[in-house]
Amino acid sequence: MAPLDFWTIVVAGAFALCAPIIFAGLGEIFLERAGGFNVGIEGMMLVGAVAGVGGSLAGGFWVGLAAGILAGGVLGLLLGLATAWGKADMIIVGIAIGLIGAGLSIALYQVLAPASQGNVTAPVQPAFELSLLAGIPLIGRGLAGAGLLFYLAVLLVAVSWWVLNFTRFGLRLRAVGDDENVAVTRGISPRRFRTIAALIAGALAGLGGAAVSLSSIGTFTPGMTGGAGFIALAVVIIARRQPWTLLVGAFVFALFNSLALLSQTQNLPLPIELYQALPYLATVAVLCVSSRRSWAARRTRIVPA
Amino acid sequence: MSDDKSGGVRRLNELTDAAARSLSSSFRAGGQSARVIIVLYVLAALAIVGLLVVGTGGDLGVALGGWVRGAFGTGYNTVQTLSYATPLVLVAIGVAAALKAGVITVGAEGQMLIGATTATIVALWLGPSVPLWLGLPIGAIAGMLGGAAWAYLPGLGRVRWGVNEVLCTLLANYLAISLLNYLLRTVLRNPAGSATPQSAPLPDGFLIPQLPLPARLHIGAILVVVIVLLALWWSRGRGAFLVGVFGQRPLLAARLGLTPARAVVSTMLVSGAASGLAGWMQLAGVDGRLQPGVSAGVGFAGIAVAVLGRGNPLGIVVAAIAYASLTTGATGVQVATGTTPAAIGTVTQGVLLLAAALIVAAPAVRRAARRSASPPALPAVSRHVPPSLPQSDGNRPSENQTDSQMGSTSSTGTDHLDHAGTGIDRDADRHENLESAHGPA
Repeated sequence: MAPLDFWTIVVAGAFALCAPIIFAGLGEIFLERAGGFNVGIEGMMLVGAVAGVGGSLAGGFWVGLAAGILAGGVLGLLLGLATAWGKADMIIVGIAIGLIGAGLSIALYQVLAPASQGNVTAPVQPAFELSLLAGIPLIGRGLAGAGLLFYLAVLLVAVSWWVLNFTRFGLRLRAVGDDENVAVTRGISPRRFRTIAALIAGALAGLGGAAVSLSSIGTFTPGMTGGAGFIALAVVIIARRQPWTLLVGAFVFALFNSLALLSQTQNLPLPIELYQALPYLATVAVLCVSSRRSWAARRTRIVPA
Repeated sequence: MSDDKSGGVRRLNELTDAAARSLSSSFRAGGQSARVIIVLYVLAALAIVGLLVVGTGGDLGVALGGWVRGAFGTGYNTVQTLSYATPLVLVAIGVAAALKAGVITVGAEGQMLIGATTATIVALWLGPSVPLWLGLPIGAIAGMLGGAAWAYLPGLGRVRWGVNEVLCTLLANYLAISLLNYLLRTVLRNPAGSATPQSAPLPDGFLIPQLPLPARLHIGAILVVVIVLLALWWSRGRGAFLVGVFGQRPLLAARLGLTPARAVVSTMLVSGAASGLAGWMQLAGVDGRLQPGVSAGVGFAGIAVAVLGRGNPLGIVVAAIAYASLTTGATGVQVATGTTPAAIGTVTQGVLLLAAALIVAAPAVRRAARRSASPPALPAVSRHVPPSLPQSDGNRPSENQTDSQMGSTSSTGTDHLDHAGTGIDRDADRHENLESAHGPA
């Protein structure tokens, strides 16, 4: 296979894979901007995935997406109430919600499709081909066939960027995250904004989960999100909580995933596991470098001459 | 844009700090007085689980009966529950030590995998000629070394470069899975061939013998009891006190002779070694050969157990048995009701953990309600001082700085430690905490 053809396929796979990470990451950006943190994205995504299948069975693809958003939102609200109003520890609550989500998704799927009835298949995203773009070399084919969910994700990135930077709501949300005490003196309730941010985070994670199950499979398997929630968490850190940078970061991670998937069928020189591990290795490296830089900056700043 | 370039990481570090401090303090303070709130949370948690059972068409009484029978009903089931609880206790004791020092490690899962992997490598390399009395300690030590090594790197990253340990250990889990999959596909692959990826069975000299009981429980459980006793003894000594002080007030701990680097790295090593040991036990006592599912969620559950047991070794044992009974009992519930899925066990574990997190925080809610009218308190000294923080007096110390200067330049070092003293006085609450903790020590 010619190298260009090979990379065209890899890029096409990445376009199709990155939507769930973008959705979940956007939610996490809202939450982290308001001073929160969510280790339970994975659980929210799983519940979103199973709700997406249920909704899609009941009323088609769009109802499925709405169901995913709703299901994730419920868990997000739980996170918000527990951390902002109950003052519970964010990381423990995150782990708890991860457990609840993982268990609940399996339980719900057993209710939805009892083992005796065999598997169910729900309607997936409608065909959406931008044949205009297909002529561009390397990325054209991927862009044309990326699917509705990818373009929805790009749209949401733009909306999130606008909301965070150019609306009163976004300003207040950031104020709560930057300095809670100042926010209080300005009459902004940190609790309310944290809860809303958690709700948004849950809803978007649920949407991300629905995007996993409804992109092309149309059914649910336990643990089907395969760590996408944790990848989203890492991408948000690398992207420094900026929506557009998140888009790029999610794409890079999806590129590695796509390589790993492809290496199962193609004969690539390096072991599959290395491609699977590369995104995590890259995140660790970025984390070390960025931490080290700020660490060094702090030292030179604080230590008197 | 108000973010500086490393905003995300900095913010996360602050969050981790706050979480670490609250966890560390909850481990210290024993009986809190917010009983009403606690009862409310427990009732809410029970109501949620009950709702789930009824919602899936089950009968509450039948489900409860099924749970008790599934977990403790017969001798076989009871031993099964204890068998599930054994690795949980081990992981939780290690994690609790780290949490006490304010280090939030979520890497037990990966450390178990690596511990089991190194034990397998050593066992297969030494071969069947090794007798049991030698094979068991070799396996255990290999597992502990493997787990400790996997925990050492995030610990080093934290003290050297300030890398956030929550993310780092989380990512290390995924790297461990990839490494294990790779080894099982290549070097460690079962030469006899098999449908699922797994290694060759361990030689007999490395397998942990089973106790003479109706179900499978290996004699490693006795070792766990010994470790619990050791942990109990340690938790009353000066070492545990110092680590606890570090969790609350790193600067004070430095003054008492425990540097941040030593506190973080040593507790990370302990938690890694405990997880690695648990990995070895699952390998040599339960599975008999290396498989990708050797950790089976025990690592994450261990964190939950450490929090539920509030860091106390005996509390951890009780919490681990209760937690394990949810897994074994869930099967009983499924059998009894016929409709309620066994995944209800996982949900209940999550709900339980959520309730525990809220209970731990209950006193904070009451405090916040009491002084809601008064102005916000001064922020406590952080382990990671953000660069943008207004430095009112220009030389407010941070632990980072102490870390770099500790032991090297004595004059500036003492100067900063004096400032540390003022830092403590600023925060009356924490001061109180420290004093009350000093009592029993």
